[in-house]
Amino acid sequence: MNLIHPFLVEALGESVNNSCQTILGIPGTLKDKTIFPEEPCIISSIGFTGNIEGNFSIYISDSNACRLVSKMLQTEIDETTTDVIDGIAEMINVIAGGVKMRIAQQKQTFNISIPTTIKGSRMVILASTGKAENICLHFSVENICLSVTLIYKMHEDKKAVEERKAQAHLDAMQTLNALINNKN
Amino acid sequence: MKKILVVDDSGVQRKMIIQIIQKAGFQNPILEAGDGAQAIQTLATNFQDVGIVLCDWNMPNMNGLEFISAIAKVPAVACIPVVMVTTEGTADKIAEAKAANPNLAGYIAKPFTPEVLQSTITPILQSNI
Ligand SMILES: [Mg+2]
Repeated sequence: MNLIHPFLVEALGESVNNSCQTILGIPGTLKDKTIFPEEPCIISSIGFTGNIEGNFSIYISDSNACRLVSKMLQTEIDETTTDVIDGIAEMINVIAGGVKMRIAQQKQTFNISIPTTIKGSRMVILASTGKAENICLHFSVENICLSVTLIYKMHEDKKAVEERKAQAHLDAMQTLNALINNKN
Repeated sequence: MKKILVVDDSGVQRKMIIQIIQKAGFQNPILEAGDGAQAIQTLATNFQDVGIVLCDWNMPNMNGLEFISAIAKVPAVACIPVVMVTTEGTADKIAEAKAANPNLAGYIAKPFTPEVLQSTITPILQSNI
């Protein structure tokens, strides 16, 4: 865990809430856990690179996706048309943009890619393996359930690594000096 | 009546923008493009009629920044007002877009409310009928 993690959790929650409020006119309310569906669902992901690198994903069942995009376009859609797929992709794009804006204030930067969307059945959200951190938040927008994940890892910039090494060197010297002085 | 060119790789986002424009009462003909390259093609045949370009940033093939920077260098289209409508809302990105196209007439960060889009494009369309 790192210092930026709590800030990212907050930024992701705020961005989802704000995106729902602005695009749909309904706030996205945080929920304890997902009611993850047995039914087919849509996952749309968008990657990003920079000194933070990773991806954002939105997980939503087909029926919830239809209801969400119906609200976006103010029209009734009851099957997963290209508009539904595209609308879910645009939601994660806007959510990612919102997180980017919020963390720019923390001097963290990243560049967002183009979203990719997949459709499938009985999908389960798993944490990533390796050194990446994982944030998974669940929301309800009126009675539409969706989950959003942010998987990321931090890259320290070269200057920060050099500074940290120099500081460690200085600390070691001071410790050694103190030990020698104590002995004498 | 001048045409409005909406450039965004998301068909849903284009539809939402067009709905807002039409609900605001604008009856201008609307052209659509899914990326910068398509927008170049569309402008090539419609440049005399286009009164405003609403342009996303992150798009495949040719992104919004490349597109607005290209049109800024072509005298026949350089004066068309461009409004960026994008998730790229940080100060450095806004500065980059302004540098790429001095005719940048507005910058809207997604998500945006209908009121924000309306208040940005209304003065541009009114002065550029
Ligand atoms: Mg886009």
